[in-house]
Parts: sequence; structure tokens; C-alpha cells
Amino acid sequence: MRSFSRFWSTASACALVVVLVVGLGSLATGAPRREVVIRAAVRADASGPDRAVNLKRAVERLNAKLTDVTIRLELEEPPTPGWAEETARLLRSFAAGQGPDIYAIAHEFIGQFAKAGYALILDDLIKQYPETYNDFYPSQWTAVKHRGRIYGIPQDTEARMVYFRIDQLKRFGWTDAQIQGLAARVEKGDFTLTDMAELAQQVKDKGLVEWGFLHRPTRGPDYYQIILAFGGKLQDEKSGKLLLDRSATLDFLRFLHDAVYKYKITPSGMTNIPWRSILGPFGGEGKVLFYMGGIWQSGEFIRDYGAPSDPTEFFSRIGWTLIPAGRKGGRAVTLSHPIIYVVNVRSPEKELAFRVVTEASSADLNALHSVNSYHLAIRKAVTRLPAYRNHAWLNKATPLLEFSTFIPNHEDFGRYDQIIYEAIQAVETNRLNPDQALQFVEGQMRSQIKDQLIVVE
Amino acid sequence: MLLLFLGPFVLLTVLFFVMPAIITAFLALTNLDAAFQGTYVGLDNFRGLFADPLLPRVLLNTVVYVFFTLICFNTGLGLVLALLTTHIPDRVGTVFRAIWLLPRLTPMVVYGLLWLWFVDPTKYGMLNTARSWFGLAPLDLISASPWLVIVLVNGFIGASLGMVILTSAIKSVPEDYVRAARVDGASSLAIVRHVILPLIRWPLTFVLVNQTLALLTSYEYILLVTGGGPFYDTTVYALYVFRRAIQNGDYGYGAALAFILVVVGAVAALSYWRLLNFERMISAPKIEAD
Repeated sequence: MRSFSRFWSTASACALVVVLVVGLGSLATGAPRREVVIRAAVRADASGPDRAVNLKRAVERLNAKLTDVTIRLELEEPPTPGWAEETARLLRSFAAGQGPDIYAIAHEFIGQFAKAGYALILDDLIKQYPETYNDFYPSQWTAVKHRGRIYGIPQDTEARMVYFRIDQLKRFGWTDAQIQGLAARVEKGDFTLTDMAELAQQVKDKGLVEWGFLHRPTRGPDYYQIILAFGGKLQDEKSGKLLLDRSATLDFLRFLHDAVYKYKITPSGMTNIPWRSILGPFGGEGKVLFYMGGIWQSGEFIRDYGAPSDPTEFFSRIGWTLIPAGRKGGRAVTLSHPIIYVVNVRSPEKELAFRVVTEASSADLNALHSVNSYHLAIRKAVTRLPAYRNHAWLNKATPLLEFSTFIPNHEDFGRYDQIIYEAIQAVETNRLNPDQALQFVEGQMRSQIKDQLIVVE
Repeated sequence: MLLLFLGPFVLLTVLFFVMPAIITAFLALTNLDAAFQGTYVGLDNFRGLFADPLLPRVLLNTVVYVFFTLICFNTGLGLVLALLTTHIPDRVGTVFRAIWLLPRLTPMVVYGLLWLWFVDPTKYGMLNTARSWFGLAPLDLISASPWLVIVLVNGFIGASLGMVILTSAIKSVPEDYVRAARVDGASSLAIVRHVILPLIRWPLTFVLVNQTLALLTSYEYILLVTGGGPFYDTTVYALYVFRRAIQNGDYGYGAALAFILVVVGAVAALSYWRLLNFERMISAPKIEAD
């Protein structure tokens, strides 16, 4: 009995020593931290490299704050050519069970991920971080909602505009007052798309520019601004279904056809021209009068094509306006196209992944992205930071947000977009006239989008 | 022993042809979408093929593409290059063949980008820069003559395979036959027509058959240079499958289109085998030569 109790006394003493050593050790070095791997995929995009880098910065900050977890970020930056292709790539990786915990997409594709069950509903998580998310501009949430629920966190927004060459308008004979008043005339609906085409034709005929009006050569949201400028709609508000507005779409196709064949201000091979042969001649050489683009391209004009980096000098050569209305007295428009972070609903570390996204949405990190990439702020705190406040381009573009619209967050919008782009190419290369192109659009949309499409006259 | 020799090839054929063909057939019976979700729809996708207004145009494009690329380049130019480079001093011929092989050795995307730079419709393109030296206005070759561009892009690549195979065939023609023909007073053209061509009939047939089937399923250079456009002008069948399945996310319909291509390819291969009497080509020779 005595030996038994001695055994237990010794064992208890040893156990106490072990507990003390471990306990003191823990006090000295901190509790053992659990390592968590968060996989993220952000498309390598020269117009916004900080979308990826901000995730790295966010993880570094969180690792300094958290006591029980160390996050290891595995960041993939695939070089997909566009957001539509990145969406297709992500959907394939999700189908193979390889979807990342955090991914970046263009907002209009959220419907596809939500419908497939690959995107986490964020409404409740957002409420846990009011200091961050209450500061977001309310309009930004429109872009990340699908059927009334929030599925993403916007990282940037932008204004799209019609850029014009001030220097060429001066050579053409416009006075400073005329040039300065152009934006206001566009805003009031006094200067329409037709006026723009006629002016471009006159300047081109005078030999001052090689082309009067250029647009992007690839698929993208810009074109929908023209449909909206003609009074069209893209989505039925009640049912949420996609909408084909026949008359506005026809006006849009006629405008593009006329730009090539009536006014001769746009080349027929517009959709075959490499980006550099569009941005260079406009932003660098000033050989194009109007270019429909976005605020972030001001940065590209400066960085890649020799436009002046001094704001006064820049704005003495290049100006911008909203997209003019289709008809006198109509509505001038712009369109925002936020890129958003989404959290994988199947991620084993959903909440931690969301914390990374929240940290990456901190005002200072987001301001870095805005300033470096010429994108507009998503939250008020960003606009108060000196780097943002003193950025001439962002300041000048911010008022355009008042006129902002978005393309629909519908799961079939990718198909809608592809069909519209094919029709644009068809009318510009004269493969179809505008009426035939409208017929093509309607036929393809009816067969591909089926009951998710409403056609109106 | 039989298993050892045939096993790897049978395995490859089953893994990379039979299995994908079976999977494609199954997918064709679904409405699988971009998110890889779908339900069984029976033969709806195949019925949809008959109602697809773009399909007749795509089929015509495919015939134009295969015929012109095959006749003008993959077989025609391949044969001309083989004949010319075997009728000049050997070393010079080798240099020329090496030059013609360069496009084949260039990575696909680089080759595509070089062509895009060449046909850039603005004044910055290589072709238009050259035109400007003569005071000519820029030419938008892709919009004006998309097929010319596509046939050239594919042809310069495709000609090299025919050239290599036919060169080795021409070189294996016994010298005696050519000399005998010359002694009989035959011209070079007559030697080619009556001596060389009959003797290289089998390799020529092989190139023709192989390249027809290869062209039928190829679209990558078209995708890189014109994207199938302007509009659907250069969209061939295989590219149409890609556009519907990958770009539009209609994997079910794309699989139905692809399954038809598998059937057409298999039928064409078997028909060639039968009509051109391929069995004779691979049968054991009647005489044994040292």
C-alpha cells in the first residue's frame, strides 16, 4: 500500500512538473498555433495587380493579430485573357473539386457561382464587421447581390467614359469655352452620340486624326452603355430575368454600323485591332478623336504610351465626358464594373477566408489599389486618405459615379454578352446589316437563354 | 509477347480515344452548363443540331478550310517543296527544309501572335508598314479576306509535315529509275509525273489522309488569329464546338456537336482504309530485299 501511494506521489509530482514546464513554455513562446492554408485565385491583371498583393498584405496583418492561427496563403495568379475566361476556368476547377477559398471575379458572373453553389452568402458575416462594411458606398452592394443576397465584396469600381483629344479639337477650331462646356452638354443630353459621330467625321475629314471613334476590341461591359444611352434596359426589375430591348439594341447596332460605313470614323476591323494599336494612337499620339474606355486607362496612357504624368498637362490634351445620350434630351450614362472577392462556400475555413477579405478591404490597402491602378474608391474612408485625395484623375472621375449603372448579375449574362459581341463584329464588318444582326441576336438569345429571357419592343 | 507489343498502344487508344468518345456521348445526352451541372435531356441536343441556323455555314466553312489548306499547302506545297529540295544540291536542300520547318518549331501562341502583328489592320502592322513604303493605304486583311489568312497560317505549318515525309519517300526512289528515264530522253517534269509520283503514291496517300483528318479536328490557329471571325466567317466545325462548349458554357450541346465529329472522323478513316486499299500498303512485301 505504501509502495502504491509512493508510486502515485511520484507520478503526480512528475505530471505536475510536466504541466508546469509545458505551461511556462507556452507562456514564454505563446500557445502552439494552428497553421491554416488559404488558397486564393486572382487573375493576373496588369490594370490591377494590387487585387492579388492586397491579399498577401492582409494575411501578413492577420498573422500579426491572431494568436491561435497562422495563415499560409497559397496565391494563384492565372494569366487568363479576360474575366469571362477566368470565370470559365474557375467553374472548371470548382467542378473538379479544386476551387480556391477566395477568388476574384467580375461582378456580373456572381450569378453563375451563386446558382452552382460555389459562393458563400455573406449577409451575416458582413454584419460582424460594421466598421469596415458600413463605410462602403451603398450603391456598391447592388453589384454583388444575386436574388437579393450578397455574395461578394467589391474591391474597386470605376467610371467608363468617352475620352476626347482636347488638342485636336483646338486644332479643328473649337474654342476653350466650347471644349470646357462639352461635358456639361453631354450631361444635359444636348450633345448626343450622333453629334459625336458627326464631329468625329468632320475632324477626320480635315485630316487631323486617323480615326474619329474607337472602342475596345474585345468582349466587355462598355458596349452596354450605348444600349442604355438609347434608353434600353438589360434586366427586368420584377422577375430578374434578362431583357432584350429590341428597339434600343437596334439603335445600338445601327450606331456602330453607321460609325463604320456612314461616318467612316471607326475601322471595320475594330474587333481585330490589338489593344496597343488603340491606346497608343489615342493616348500617346492623339491620332484618334474619341475613345470609349475607362478611368484606369488614364494610367495606361501615362505608363505605356507616353501621355504626360503631370495632371495639368494631361488634362490640357485629354478630356472625358459621360457616354452621350442616344437622342436629344436623353440620358447620358456611365457604367461601373466592380471586381469582387468571393468566398468559396465549401471552404473548410470560410470565416477565416472572409477575415482575409475584410482585412484586404481596409481603407489603406484599398487606397493603394485605387491609386496605383486608377480605380475609384469603394468606401468613404479611402477618399479621405491623402494619396487618394491628391490624385487628380480619381478626383475628376468620382463625380461620374452619380450616373453609374451596372450590367446584370444574372447566371446567363455570359451568354448574353457573347451574343451581343458577335453581333457587334457582324455589323462592323458588314457581315450582317443592323436588322439582320438584331434577328441573329434574338434567335441566339431565345435558343440559348430560353425562359430566362424577356424580349420587349 | 503480343500483349507487350500492343498493350501500350491499346491502352493509349482506349484512354485517349475510346473513353473520351464514350464520355462525350453521355455528356451529349445532358444539358450540362458552364458550372458542370445538368440533367438528362435525351436526344434534345441532337434535335437542336437540325434547328441550329449557324451550323450550315459552319459546315461549309469546314469544307472550304480543309479542301484549300490540304490541296494548296499540306499536300500540294509539301510535295512541291519535297521535289524542289531533292532536285538541288543536298546541303542547300537541307537548309531550305530547315527554314520551312521553323513555323512548326515555333510555339503555337508565338506563331499566332506573329501573324496577328503581320496582319494588324492599322498602320502599325508589318504588312501595312511595308505597304506604306509604296504609298499604299493600310489593308485590313482579316476583314477583307479572312480565309486567305487562315489558309496561309495553317498552310505554312502544315506543309512541313508533308515535305518531310515526301522528301524521304523521294529519296528512297531508286536512282536507276531516274537515270533510265533520262537516258530515254524524259524531261524533269515527265520524270516527276511518270516515275516519282507513281513510286511515292503510298506516302502521298498517307499524307493526304492524315492531314484531312488532322485539319478536320484542328482549330487552334484559327482561334488565335481570327477567333473564328469576322462574325462566323472562319468558324470551322471544331472551333464551333469550342465556342459553344467552352466560350458559351453549353457543354451538353457542345458534346453533341463533338460526338458528330467523332463519328465523321471514324467513318472517314474507315472509308479511306477501304477505298484507298490501305491494307495492301501495310501487307508484307511479296519479295524480300536485302
